[in-house]
Amino acid sequence: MTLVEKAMFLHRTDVFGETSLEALAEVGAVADEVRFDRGAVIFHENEPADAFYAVVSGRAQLSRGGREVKTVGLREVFGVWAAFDGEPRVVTATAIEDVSALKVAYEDFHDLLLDNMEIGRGIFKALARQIRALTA
Amino acid sequence: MGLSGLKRALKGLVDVRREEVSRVLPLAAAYGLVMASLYVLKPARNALFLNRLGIHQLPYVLLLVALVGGITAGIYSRFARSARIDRLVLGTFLILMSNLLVFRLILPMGWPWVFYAFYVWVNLYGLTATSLLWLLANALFNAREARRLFGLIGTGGIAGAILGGLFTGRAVKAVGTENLLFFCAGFLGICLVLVRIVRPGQEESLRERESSDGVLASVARSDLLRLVGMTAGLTAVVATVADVQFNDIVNRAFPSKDAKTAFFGEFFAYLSAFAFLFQFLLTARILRSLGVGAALLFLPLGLAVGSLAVLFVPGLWGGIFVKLGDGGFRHSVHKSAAEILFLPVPSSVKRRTKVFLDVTVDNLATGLGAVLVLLLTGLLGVTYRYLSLLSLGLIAAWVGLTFRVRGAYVDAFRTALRRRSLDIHQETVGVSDVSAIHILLKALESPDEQEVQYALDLLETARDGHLTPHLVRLVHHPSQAVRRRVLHALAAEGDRSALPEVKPLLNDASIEVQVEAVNYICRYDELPPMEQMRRFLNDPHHTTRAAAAACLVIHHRDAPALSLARRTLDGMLRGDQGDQGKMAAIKTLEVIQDASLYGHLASLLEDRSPAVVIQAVQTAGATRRPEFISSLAQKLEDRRFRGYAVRALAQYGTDALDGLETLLAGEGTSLGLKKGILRVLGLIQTQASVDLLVGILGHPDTSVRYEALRALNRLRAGDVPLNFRPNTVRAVLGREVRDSYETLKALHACCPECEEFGGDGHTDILGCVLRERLDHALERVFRLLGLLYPHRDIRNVYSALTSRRKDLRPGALEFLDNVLTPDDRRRIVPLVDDLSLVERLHRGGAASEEMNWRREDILLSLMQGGDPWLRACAVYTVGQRGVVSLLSRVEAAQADEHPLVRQAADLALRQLNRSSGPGDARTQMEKAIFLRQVEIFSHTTTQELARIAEITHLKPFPGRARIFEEGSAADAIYLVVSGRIRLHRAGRDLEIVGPGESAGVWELFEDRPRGETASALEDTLTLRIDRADLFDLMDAHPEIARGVLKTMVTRIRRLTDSLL
Repeated sequence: MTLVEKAMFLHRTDVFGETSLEALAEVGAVADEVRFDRGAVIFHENEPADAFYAVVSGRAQLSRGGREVKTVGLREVFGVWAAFDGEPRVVTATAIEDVSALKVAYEDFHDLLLDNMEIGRGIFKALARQIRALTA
Repeated sequence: MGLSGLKRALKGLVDVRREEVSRVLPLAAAYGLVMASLYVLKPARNALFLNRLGIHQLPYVLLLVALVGGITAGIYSRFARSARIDRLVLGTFLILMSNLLVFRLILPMGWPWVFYAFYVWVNLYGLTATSLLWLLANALFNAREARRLFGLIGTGGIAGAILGGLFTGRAVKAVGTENLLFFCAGFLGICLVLVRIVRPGQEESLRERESSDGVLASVARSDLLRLVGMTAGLTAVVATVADVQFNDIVNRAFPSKDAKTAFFGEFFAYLSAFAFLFQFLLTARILRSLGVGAALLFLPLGLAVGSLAVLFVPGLWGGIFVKLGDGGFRHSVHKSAAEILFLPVPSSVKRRTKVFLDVTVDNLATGLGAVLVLLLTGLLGVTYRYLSLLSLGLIAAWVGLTFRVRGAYVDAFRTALRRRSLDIHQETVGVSDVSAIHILLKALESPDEQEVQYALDLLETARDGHLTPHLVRLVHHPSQAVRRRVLHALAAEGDRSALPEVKPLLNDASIEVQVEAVNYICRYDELPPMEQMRRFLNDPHHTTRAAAAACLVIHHRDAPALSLARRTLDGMLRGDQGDQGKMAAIKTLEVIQDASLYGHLASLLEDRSPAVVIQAVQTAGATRRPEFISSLAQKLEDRRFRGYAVRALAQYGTDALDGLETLLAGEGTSLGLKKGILRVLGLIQTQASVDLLVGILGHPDTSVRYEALRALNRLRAGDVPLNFRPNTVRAVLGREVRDSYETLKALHACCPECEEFGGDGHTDILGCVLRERLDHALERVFRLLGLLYPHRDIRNVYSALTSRRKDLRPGALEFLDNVLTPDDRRRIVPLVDDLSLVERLHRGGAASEEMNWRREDILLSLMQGGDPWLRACAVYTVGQRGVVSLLSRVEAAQADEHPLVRQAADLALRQLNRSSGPGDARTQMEKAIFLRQVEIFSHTTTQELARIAEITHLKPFPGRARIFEEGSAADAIYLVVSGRIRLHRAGRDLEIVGPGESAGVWELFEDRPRGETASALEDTLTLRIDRADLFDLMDAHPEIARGVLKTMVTRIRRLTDSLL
């Protein structure tokens, strides 16, 4: 994907839906395209977290203690909470189909947040909205 | 075959660039001479042997050849591995030439063993000389050149073979068989001279490390290799039988030695010519239309026909047919098909396996064939004619195996495609057989972009001519890399039928795709190329213009065209087409390397428009030219460009290190710039980066040290093994650990309630600050540990220990116990262990001093410390705790340089003198303390709270007053200091907000209109934070946002957990 394509893709996710395309171009610049074969484990519970993923194609299952919690697919972002609170992974993520995703490492993302407040503001919106939805 | 097909085939033969001629021609001529000499020697050898010893001895000498061949190949390759190639060639050829002269002398003596020796020697000669020349060729050319040029070299060889054979046929009548050896020596001599011309410059020793270790295992494991090995064995056995039959027939047909030599010579010449024509005209078509399986059947079926001919056709013709089958197909279609079979084999295994098959299997099977012939003819008295029956039986098995081979090949190809283990850039053989092409075409439909790109790369080597309809389907693929490759492949196919599909790509999002589109259209549209190009250069779209200009620069054929392109880009870079034009033109600088245009980049890096600067930064990094390093480094200071500049500089790698080091050491360099440079260093994985960074670990500024640490951790997590200077790092670690214990001591002295590690106990402000210091220090300790111990493990431990989840702690602590050295364990584990403060201090060895630090002494030292915020909090605490003994120090603090400290001193004095009650939250200090209770700021550091406090306003509301209305803009947060607020909507009460709680938080961050109305329930004092002020503050101090984000995420986690 070109930078522009990545930015446009991220703009259609929940977490980054409120962030401008220019700002997202910066996120795209640090996003790697990665692939996981079906059955591959993307990360394990209790591991330290170091990146989040935005699914471009395929589906992944998030499970805890062996029990399924959620399935994520196209344009869904997972593994992002730990970017903000540093907690170890609470779920195991496994690819249930061949998955291709954009991976953003936390180290890069933190630097980005410090450089570009606009991204932070967009995320504020997204998170606040989510809190409202959960407390309604 | 159509004219275009013939043209393409010819082009395939003669696709030489001018600068390559001086290397290719001598090599081709040398190879021709070697082959010529071989085709003089082989007839001579056969004739001499048959004449002197007769046909019945032939199987014995074949057996001998098999044995000797295997052994010498092993010895030679071991010896050859370490030798310089040109010396090797010189030495070997000289030895061979001298051997020839010796043989010339002793052959006439008539001793039988000489003829055996000569027979074997000629075999070895053939193998050695040809493989040496191919090694030389491989050393001279890379794989891509090889793919184009080796055809020509091979043709030189065949020409040599034909000429050699014909020469033999004519010359032997004049000079006799033995004297032909002189001519051979002569050929080798000329060959030597030619090889000296093309010597490969540097110290090129043979790069291949051919050992046979593990080859058997790899062969056994792979279906394909096993089957190929078995068929190779059968091939050699049948070929041996055929060879014996052939020699027998010739022996009987031509009684005299020279007549035999003449026949052998001419026959081999015609055979080579046949093989060559077959290869040139038919092989590619067979592979493309019938596939590799059918191609592999030519040899066995040819041999079958030949064997039948020997059985039923009397005289010479039977012999001719059987050798025709072998010689005609073996080195043409069969060899090409066999090369293709090896394509999906992993390269680590490939060369060794090929050698294994060519040498070991071939020799073993030849020996076996010889033994069979001896058994059947000697023991069982079968005549040579009836050996055909054996051949036919073996051929039947061979044909059966061939079908299985094909199946295994297709499977292996699919697997290699899926795993992307075919490194096409290392391959000299293109993909040309129909089954592979089908698999690749199917792969083009894959949803996986990498697979499609990979398949396209492989298809480009196919040089097929019929791929256009398939490629066209991909022209609108979502990935720009795929689109670019497709256009490139379409242009190479030479077919203009894709024109209508390509035209829309002129408006593609990616400049590289546009460049390829322009290229294709200019080549294949009706208008002459330059005419078309001119239209593009005047196109209203900036990107099309730029792409056209770039395309012209890349593909120009004359100076005027180049200068036109340059002028166009020059104009765009100056701003003729505005900012958009500038950006489009800048982007093209990544695909063209034109020094005259780079000059613009320097000024574009200082352009007014940020978007232009960003593009310039990205492109400058891509060019990796040294003149941009310092401008890029300057951009590190500007937050708008920092990220881009970091990545651009990282692309330079080691080239940037000198410049960056100078800047780092410079006096005038700002902290911001230094920190930016450290970020870049974290991306350049070299020892020099590590050393620079480790040097910075002693820098006076904490944030700089921290950035250096982060960069070091990043390098540690990379895949390049580096030395992280453990001694220096240990020294730094020691300092950090000591500081941690100092902080722990202070915590114990000032704040005895703070017992547990990570506890949530509400403590006073000083306790909070000290806790924060301790947490930061611990992070640095663990980051340093990550440089000394396996970093992933240390990360695991740290993550577990700092998590809210308590269940992970025991495992982490135990792990830490096991992995640290005893010294480290003693000092570091207590810092994180589940012990009381006192215990921790004890264990950590800080208790070697007395345990009774006086609180006053600690407070005193904190009040005099370098950190203003810590000083302020210490002063404040003196007031809070009524430590009267420090009154004079507090008075002195009123004159402190930092306003917060002065404020704290005033407050403390009031407390100590009991002049007024506890704060009504008027001063910044008191506000900061108050803010700690507010949920949204629960993860914000106290120092950041002090900053936020500065932008708050006290707003009182009398009872019943409206604070804000439902539907109005959420432009402020209200924190209740005293009193209560009622939140209501449409008359219904929703919530009561009391002291320490907040209203309007979520709407502010969500930037949506208020969902409810707020009224004061009673006389209420609020602290108000305006949205604009808060965001401005966050812009100036982005770390504040992190704390807020953490709180939000924590809340979300708790909410979602409760739903699960």
